[in-house]
Amino acid sequence: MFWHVFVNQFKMIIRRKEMLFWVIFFPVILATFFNLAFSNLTTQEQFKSFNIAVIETENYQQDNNFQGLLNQLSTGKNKIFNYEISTEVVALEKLNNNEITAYLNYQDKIEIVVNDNNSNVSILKGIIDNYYQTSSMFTTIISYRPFLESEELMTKFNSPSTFFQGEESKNTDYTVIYFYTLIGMACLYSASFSMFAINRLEANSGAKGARTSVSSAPKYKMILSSLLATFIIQFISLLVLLAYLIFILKINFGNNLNLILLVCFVGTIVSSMLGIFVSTLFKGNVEKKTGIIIGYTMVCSFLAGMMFIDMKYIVADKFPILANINPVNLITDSLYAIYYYSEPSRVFINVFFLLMFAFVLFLLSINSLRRKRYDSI
Amino acid sequence: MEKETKKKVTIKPKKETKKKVTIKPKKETKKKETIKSKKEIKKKIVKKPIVEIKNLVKNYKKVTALDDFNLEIKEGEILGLLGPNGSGKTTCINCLLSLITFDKGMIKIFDKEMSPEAYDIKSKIGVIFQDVAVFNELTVLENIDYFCGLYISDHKLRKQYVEEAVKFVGLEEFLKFRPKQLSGGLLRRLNIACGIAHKPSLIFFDEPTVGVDPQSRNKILEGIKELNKKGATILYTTHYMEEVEQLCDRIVIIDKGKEIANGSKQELKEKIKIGEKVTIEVLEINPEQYKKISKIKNILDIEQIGNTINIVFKNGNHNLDTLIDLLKAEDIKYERFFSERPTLNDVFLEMTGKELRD
Repeated sequence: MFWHVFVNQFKMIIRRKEMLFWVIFFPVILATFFNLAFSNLTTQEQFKSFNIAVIETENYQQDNNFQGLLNQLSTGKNKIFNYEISTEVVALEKLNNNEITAYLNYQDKIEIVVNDNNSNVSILKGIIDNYYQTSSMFTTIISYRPFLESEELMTKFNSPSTFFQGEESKNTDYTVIYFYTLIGMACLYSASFSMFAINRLEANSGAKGARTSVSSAPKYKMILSSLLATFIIQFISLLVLLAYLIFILKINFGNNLNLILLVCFVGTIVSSMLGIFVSTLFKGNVEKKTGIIIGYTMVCSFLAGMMFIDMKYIVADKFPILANINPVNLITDSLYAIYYYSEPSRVFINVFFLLMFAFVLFLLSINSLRRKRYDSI
Repeated sequence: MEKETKKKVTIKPKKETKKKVTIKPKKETKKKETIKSKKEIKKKIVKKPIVEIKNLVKNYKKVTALDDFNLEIKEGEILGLLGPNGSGKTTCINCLLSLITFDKGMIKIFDKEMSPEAYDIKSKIGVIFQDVAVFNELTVLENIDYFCGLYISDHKLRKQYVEEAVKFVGLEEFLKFRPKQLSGGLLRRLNIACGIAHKPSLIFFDEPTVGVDPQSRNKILEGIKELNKKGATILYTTHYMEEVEQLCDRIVIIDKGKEIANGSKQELKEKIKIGEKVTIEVLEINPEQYKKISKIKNILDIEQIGNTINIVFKNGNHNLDTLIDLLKAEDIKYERFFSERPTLNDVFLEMTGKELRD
């Protein structure tokens, strides 16, 4: 029975052309348009280094590693930023006049002062975060195992590439974010597959659901086999889009394929749970529920910066909670972190938030999902 | 011929009497007894209720859909459940199938309490819903196979059942068609095939012929009779009284969530006031004559439309005789005169009232 339902759900979903359009072809078309639009932009407007100021504090003067890092990142052909040592008054004035993007004030911690959030600020934050994490890791290692203070370790500690995966700035094209949001968008769109499959098992969704519910097949088995069928289709459709972006449009996703697949896999779990959530908690036909999923996806994609890249940073700055519960943003940010940073902690944090989001959706749906009798149908 | 008759009369009884009395009296008595007891057993088996609803109450917020409702469906019968729109028929079926909750009462099917987890009971039930419940993404064959597969795991057996169901509803030529490509009648037949492919012994038909042409309807009704002949017990709901007349052994009329009548067609017809309906197409009639007709005993209702007089008589003896005598006495000439017994429609309208529902 399990495989009987699985095979038939699989057939039914792949025969729904309008669903396949939204989940596979629409993102592919959009990606093609993005590619056409950005191909000139990326060649003409390669990443430009930005200006920052560093306040000359006592902590800054004592931290040779940090100074070394700033020097490394502000020199060479593909430098990230230009920096100047300044006082806080002058730095603030320059910030207000938009002469600098931010200034760093190294007190107990390194404080980043900005006017507006944008992609450059995000890069700067990433560098500082990585610096903290890595330096604390080295400090811990050395404090517990002082004999490890070898020359090799110290060399690594003093190398900026340890803190920042700049690699001569080959990964500094921020327009890739647009393409990453497409992955997030496709992920959420694919929730319509699981919504569609689960909807047909609910007696209150119409005669088909009622006929299925009165059969002698246990509901939990049908749910599991349907979810497996939809999960496979969702994941494959995501891989198709990923392959199109990587191999046809040559979008750079970095080198960590395992992490990319992990993000896609977790994204698919989120979309499955979203499909169940919409299917069980909203009343109406499949078309109405598909509309809800499409609407929600578009809002999430917009907030993740798909239409206007700075929106991602505005949301992250003004409404950080919203950024952390927006699955499109979390997927986009994860892919960007894979592309930009060598250190995967940010990806894992995002994956954790995605899993939490999926779990919450599951918890909210579980009562309706387990329901076998209704007040009315 | 006469001779032959005589022979039969004179010879046969003697032989029979002899045999009975002298040769095998005891054995024959025994045989008769055993036959009798077998019949009794059969009768008992046939009349055993396989569906029992007791004191069922279902409220939708402030509306009572089923009000202390009781129902029994006996094994092997076709029970017609009739009622106006909103009377509680579909609610009753949904409660029976454990699709919806109810406030009070008990439902037993095959002697076991019905619940959503009663998979052994569910495996013996087939449902044909009012709305066509098939998947547009699957072909005719795939649809029947899908629903059959929710009951039958064995692949070979399922294949055989599906083939039989296809043949039963006559969809052999449309196996690869998608439901959207089928006409209304074919779609209804597909709907039925999906509900009966697993060979259920209890089948619920909820208005299965809505929007179907007379040919398809006839095919469907014949199919239902055949299913019943093969042993299926059937609960049939419809608005078409002629279908009920044609199909059902017993009828339950439900209104406002309560049973208001229960019996065979004949029993129900006897319960109402109308005895017969008479139509006379007169050539000429004056008001005085019409007045005299209208004063005949047992008339429930009389109306004149042009030259046609419609008379509804109460149950009673010699109504037609009295009428014909009067027509002769008054020398009222008529072209046509016909009388009909009350129909199930009359029963339904008298019991549930003529006011519009919904």
